[in-house]
Amino acid sequence: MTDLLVLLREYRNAITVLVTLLVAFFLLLMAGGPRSQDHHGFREAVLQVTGPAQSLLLRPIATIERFQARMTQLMNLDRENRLFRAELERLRPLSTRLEELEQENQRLKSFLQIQPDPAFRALVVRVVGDSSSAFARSFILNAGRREGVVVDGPVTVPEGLVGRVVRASASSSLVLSLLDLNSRVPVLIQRSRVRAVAAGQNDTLLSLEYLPKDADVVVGDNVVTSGNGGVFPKGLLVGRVVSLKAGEDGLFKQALVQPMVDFDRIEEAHLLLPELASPETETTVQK
Amino acid sequence: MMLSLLIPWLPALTIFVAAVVQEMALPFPAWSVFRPDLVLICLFYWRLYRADRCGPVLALLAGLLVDVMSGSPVGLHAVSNIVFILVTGHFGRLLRSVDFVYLLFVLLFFTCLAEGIQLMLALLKWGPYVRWMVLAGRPVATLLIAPLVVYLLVLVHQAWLEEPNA
Repeated sequence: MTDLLVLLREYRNAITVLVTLLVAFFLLLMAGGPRSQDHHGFREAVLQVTGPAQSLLLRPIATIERFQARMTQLMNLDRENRLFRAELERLRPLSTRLEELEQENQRLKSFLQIQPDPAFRALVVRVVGDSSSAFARSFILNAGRREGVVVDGPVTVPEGLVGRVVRASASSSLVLSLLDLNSRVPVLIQRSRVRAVAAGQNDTLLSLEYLPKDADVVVGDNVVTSGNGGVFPKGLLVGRVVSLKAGEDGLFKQALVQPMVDFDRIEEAHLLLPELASPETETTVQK
Repeated sequence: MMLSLLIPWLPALTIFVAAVVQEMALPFPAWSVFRPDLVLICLFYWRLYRADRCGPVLALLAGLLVDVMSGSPVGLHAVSNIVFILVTGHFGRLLRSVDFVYLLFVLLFFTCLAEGIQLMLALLKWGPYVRWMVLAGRPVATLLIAPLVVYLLVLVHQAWLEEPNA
C-alpha cells in the first residue's frame, strides 16, 4: 500500500495528465454533433454563471455604443434640422398661398349661395383697387364694358349691398360705395315698410334721410333697398338701424344705419347686370 | 482576507475572464473569423511562469468552459488545451530563456498545433463541417493580440503572484 502511494506520488503529474486526457476524450466521444443538445443542463449552468460576467464586461462596450448612437443621432439631428428648415422655407409661400386659396374658396362658396334677382345677371368680379380718400369712398373692379358692365349697376356681397357702378371703362369699373358722401339709396325699413333714403357720410355709418318723425322705426330694424328709382333691385339688405333721434328741423327723424358689409374686407363682389334675356346666368371674371 | 484566498486562484480567474471575453463579450462580426484564443494565451503564460498554478486540470476545465460557451462538442477544446500545456510545459525551461518576440511565434506555432488537434478530432468524429476560415484566422488573431494580453497578465502576476524569491 505504501509502495502504491509512493508510486502515485512519483508519477503524480503523469497520472494527472493521463486522467484529464482520458476524461476529455471520454467527453468528446460521448458528445453529439456540433450544436447538439448534449450536456444541456451543464451548458445551462455554465451560461448561468458566465451571464453576469458577460454583462459586466459588456457594460463599457454598451456605454460606448450608446454614446456613439447618441452622437450619430445628434449629428443626424443637425442635418435633419437644416433639411427641415430648407423645406420649411420652400413650403412657407405655398402655405400662405394655400391659406389664401382656402379663404377665397370660402368666399366664392358663399357667393354661390346667393340667389340673384331674376331681372339681373350676376357677374362675380374681383376688387382690384381701392380709390377711397378722405373725401370719397370708392373702389375698382376688374370688369368693365367688355364684360357687359354698365353705369349704375348694383354691386353686392353675400352680406348685403355694397354700392353701384359710377364709371365703366373697357376692362374695369369704379364703384361708389354706400358710405360715399354722394351715395343715395332708396330704402325701406323691413319691419314697418317705412320708406327713406340711405345717404353716405364718408363715415362708417349711413344716415337715413326723409324719415318722418312719427315713422315706426326702432333701433335694430333691418334696412333694405326699396327698388324705387330702378337702380337697385328690391330687397337687398343695406344695414341695421343703430341710433335714432329727433331731427333738428322737427319734420324728420334722424336715424343712423350700420351697413351689413365690412367695406374694408371686400375682395370679390357680385356685379348685377340688367339682362332679362338670361336671368340665371352667372359668370366669373378671371384676371 | 477574501483577497488572499483568491490570489492562488488568479490564473484560473484570468482564464475564466479570458474565456468569457473570447466567447461571449466580443460579438463583433469581424471576430467570427479573427477571434483570438485568449484562453490559450493565458494558459501559455501561466504554464511558463507559474506552472504550479496551471496544470492539466485547469486546462481541462478551461477547455470544457470554452466548449460549453462556444457550442463546440464538449471535450474538443479540453483535449487540445491539455496537449497545449503539456507541450508548453515540456519546453518551459527553454522558452523562459527566449526573447518575447520569438515567444510570440512559438505561441503562434502552438496555437496552430492546438487548432490542428481540434481540426483533426472534428474531422475524425464528424467529418468536414469545420469553418476553415475561423481555424485559419484564429492563430493570426491570437498572435496579434498576445502582447496586450501578456502585458495585462504580467501586471496581474507582478501585483499579486510574484514569488518573494523570484
